[in-house]
Amino acid sequence: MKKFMITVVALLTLGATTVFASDKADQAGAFLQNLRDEAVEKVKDDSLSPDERSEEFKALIARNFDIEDTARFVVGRFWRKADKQERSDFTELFQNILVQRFLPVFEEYAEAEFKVVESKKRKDYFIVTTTILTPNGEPANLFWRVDPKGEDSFRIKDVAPEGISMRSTYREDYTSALKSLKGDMTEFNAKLREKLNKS
Amino acid sequence: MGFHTTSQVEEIFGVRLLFKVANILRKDTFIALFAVAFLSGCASQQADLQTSEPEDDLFASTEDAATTEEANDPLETFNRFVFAFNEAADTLIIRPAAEGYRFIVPEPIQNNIRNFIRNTQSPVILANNLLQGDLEAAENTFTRFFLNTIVGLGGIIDIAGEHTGHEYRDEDFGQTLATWGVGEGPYLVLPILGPSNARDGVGLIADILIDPLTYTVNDDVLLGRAIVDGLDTRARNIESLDALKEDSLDYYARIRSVYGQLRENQIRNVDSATEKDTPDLGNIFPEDDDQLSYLEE
Repeated sequence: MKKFMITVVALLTLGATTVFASDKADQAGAFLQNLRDEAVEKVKDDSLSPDERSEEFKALIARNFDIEDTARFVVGRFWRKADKQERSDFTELFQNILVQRFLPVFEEYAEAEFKVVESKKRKDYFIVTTTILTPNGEPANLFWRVDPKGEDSFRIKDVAPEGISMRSTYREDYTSALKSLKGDMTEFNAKLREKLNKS
Repeated sequence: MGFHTTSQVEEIFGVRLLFKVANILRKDTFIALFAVAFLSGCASQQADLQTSEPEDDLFASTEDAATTEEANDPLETFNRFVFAFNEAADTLIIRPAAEGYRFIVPEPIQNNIRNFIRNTQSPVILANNLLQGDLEAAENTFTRFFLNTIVGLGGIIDIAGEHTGHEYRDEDFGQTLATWGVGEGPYLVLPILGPSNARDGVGLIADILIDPLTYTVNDDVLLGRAIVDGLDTRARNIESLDALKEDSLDYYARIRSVYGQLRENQIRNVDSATEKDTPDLGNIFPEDDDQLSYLEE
């Protein structure tokens, strides 16, 4: 009888945890779907001026994207050598770069069909696979790394269109650029700023 | 003035010369192939040795890991030179030509052209499917070739992809070598052909040797196919490459990163993911940094 009880308890816990785990993964998928809907709404809101729209989009990214961690990651070892001011300047600039880079993408794909295909746990985060129908009718895969944040919220850490990770790509670019500037983060920030203002 | 014949004009442009060189190379290519495969194997082994060295200076080794981990690029100076050359060629010739192609050729015809070219590449893909021991993919390639050639009017319509779910999946000898465990070797930027590495460079040559058309069709036709294929691919990537370039501080490093990841995904067939058959995503997302490199002060 005791054995039986242990089995029942074990099975129940096992069942509960798997349900919980897949539940959490589904939530990660739902989180992305909601975020996409919200972003599209912002993009299509004609009452906003381009500047206001860009501000709204920036706020949306700040809320849902782990900017600080990503900023730290993409400059690799150079983060440690930078001082406080350089770090916060870079983080701010990097956020603007993300807005400048992804707002047009969102605008272009606002009407495209977006679907969450799968969401699964890996280590301490979730990989959410989504597909989007490109304007020429070909489906493209977008993979997202979504980290849990607190009890029932999430933060995006990385996105990989067709498996090309944004974090990896920026990191290789920025560490290489920093290397050729001999690690001078102030000058590096100046270059980024110049780039942002040009376009 | 009888000496301005077509073949002389071609001689001037060096096209025929290129193919003569290729023909001479052909004889020795197998030797070269195994030599480079062996070398790239050695290179990857050496890389393994380097990373597994005991670390007496923990900080230094983490710093190294941050930069050398993804950039296997000992020939960087040479590569950057070729890259700059390619960029110039792209700005002056290739990109304008691709824009012209896209402007003149209607989209359905562009797709027909791509379908046709892909169909002529089927034997190479099939051979690589088989060399990788991937029978399922081989069956897919064979069905595509059979259906598209006969029902799809010689390959211009992708009947198999559109109606029977046998979608196009690319394979090449570089990927085959990877599945055999050959390391990628140093990163290489090839003139005009663009980003590659020692392994994939060997793969390019091997794919030419595998292709039955190499032995049956006029060299000019093969060159024409390569040019149209390149043009079509470039035309499909005008906006995305522009955006990438505009967003980069070091475009060269950015392309190197994208190429490395793209090949990694192709080898694991992430690109052919379907709803039923999700691929092994492997380490699609980079590992978080070591605590050390985050250390405040």
